[in-house]
Amino acid sequence: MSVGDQGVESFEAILREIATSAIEQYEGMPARMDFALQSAKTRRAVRPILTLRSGLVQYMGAAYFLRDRARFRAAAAAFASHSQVIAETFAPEPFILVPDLCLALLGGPAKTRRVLVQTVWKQDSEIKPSDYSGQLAAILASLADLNRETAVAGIARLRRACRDRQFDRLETRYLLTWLLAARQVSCGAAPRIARLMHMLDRRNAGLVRHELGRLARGGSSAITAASLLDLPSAALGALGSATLPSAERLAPEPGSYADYRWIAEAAWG
Amino acid sequence: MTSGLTTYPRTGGGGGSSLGRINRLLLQLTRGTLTANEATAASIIRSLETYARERAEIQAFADIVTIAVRVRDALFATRANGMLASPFFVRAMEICAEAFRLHVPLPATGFANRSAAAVWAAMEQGIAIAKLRSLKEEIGLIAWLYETSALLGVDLSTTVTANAVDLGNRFVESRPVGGGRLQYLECGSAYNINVMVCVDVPGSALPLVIAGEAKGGASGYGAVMTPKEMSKILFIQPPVKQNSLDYARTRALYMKRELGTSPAQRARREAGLLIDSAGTTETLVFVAARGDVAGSTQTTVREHLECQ
Repeated sequence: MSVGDQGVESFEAILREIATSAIEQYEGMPARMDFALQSAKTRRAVRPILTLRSGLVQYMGAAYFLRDRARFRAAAAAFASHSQVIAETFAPEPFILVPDLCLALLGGPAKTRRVLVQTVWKQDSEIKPSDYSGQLAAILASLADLNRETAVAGIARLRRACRDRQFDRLETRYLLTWLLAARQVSCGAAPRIARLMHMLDRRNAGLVRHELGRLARGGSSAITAASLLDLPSAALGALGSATLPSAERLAPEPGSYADYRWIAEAAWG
Repeated sequence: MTSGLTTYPRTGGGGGSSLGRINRLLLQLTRGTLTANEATAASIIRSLETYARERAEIQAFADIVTIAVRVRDALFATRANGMLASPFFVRAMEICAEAFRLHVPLPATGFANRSAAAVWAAMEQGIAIAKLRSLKEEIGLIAWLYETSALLGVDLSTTVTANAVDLGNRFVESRPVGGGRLQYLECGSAYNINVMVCVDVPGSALPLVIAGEAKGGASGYGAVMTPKEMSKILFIQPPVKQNSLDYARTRALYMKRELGTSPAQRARREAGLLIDSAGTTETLVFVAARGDVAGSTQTTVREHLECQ
């Protein structure tokens, strides 16, 4: 249908606009991280950091969408500069540490990764069923730690939350796919990971298309550039791919929401 | 050597010593480090409180407003420029508001006529519910504008709302004469913040953005369930209460995504960007205020003031 083609084209244009405007809006964010960190220490509160991070995650998503290596690296470095400090000093709730944990799993320093995993773990029992980012963090922490038992328990818990309709329809579909991939990874061999990553991309595209559809119809949507980057899937993809012999590892597709190779290379390479 | 601030002689209620101290400390602020400034700013606020007490005794409320505004500007600018951690400027705004209310009560502002007209209309016999509702909203908005005027130490009816333009669809905006950045916006529909004021602060690269919720009559504050994506961006968990700064930040995400090109839609997007950016640089303040009919006049109450 020609309308559909037009729609795809204009959707692409809207996404580009979302990404470029986020870059423009938050260009100074990575440079402000030092101040936010000092500010948080002075005030003995994590809030100044979280406040700045809300701009930073959008900036990072935009840089990823535009495949702007330099800006992505600046954003990842801004996270890396404080990940360990906030985990150790403030022990924030697991859902807050998702970007840090994912970046650490995608090739970040091992020490930071250990600290983050520990911080998430200590609070595992307090994660609410409605908190899906927190549950993703718990599962990723288990997988990173090669703790199969807790990973399986975390997967079962999130599946239960999905069944209990804690999330809306599109979110649930995304999560169920993510859980399939997580289970493969937890088994220590994930031969189908490339296919599952492809499915996750389709789920992400569905979520984004839904929001853009609202906008196109003149409705309101709060979609931001942060939705253009799926760090938990990227982390999962990296963990899954690492279970395979290198000859069998497939490169993520171009245009993926979770291109773990590009992210690892841009952030830490 | 007699050192220490408390050894200064009192000047018998004139406030001379506390004002001198404020001026000296403000100067010190421009030279201090982040940690040193934290202590300096706390001293400035203590001195401002003393000054306000002294001047209030002789009913010199206008002086308090003047000095509180100066202190607010300095503390805000120092922080926006990355040399101060805590939001001391908000305390200066509270002190300012207290004095402003006594110095310029609502009937003495430019909002008096607007308020009287709304109150009289609301008292009409057998008024339709829908009309009463919209009048109560107007009374709530006036209350918000008055309370925010008090916090800023400026009668907003003489500044930002003086040249306000109705854009239709219950959007009202105001910009500086000759155009430029949005300085005031009222929004009617859903997925928006109620009202926003954006003011430039001398010495600060970033403006002070005040977003808020105006309530008329006895209507309550609700809570919104935000999409899961929002917790990923704002690092908060739903539900978000309507009388909170986080609420303003969630609305800003919707507002800045406006794609339309009508004047109202453009103003909506611009306000969204202003609030969202202020929300990431700690230059956002949230104010909730309520107004209601009381006899033949209206009340104004500031119910919530929050900064980052």
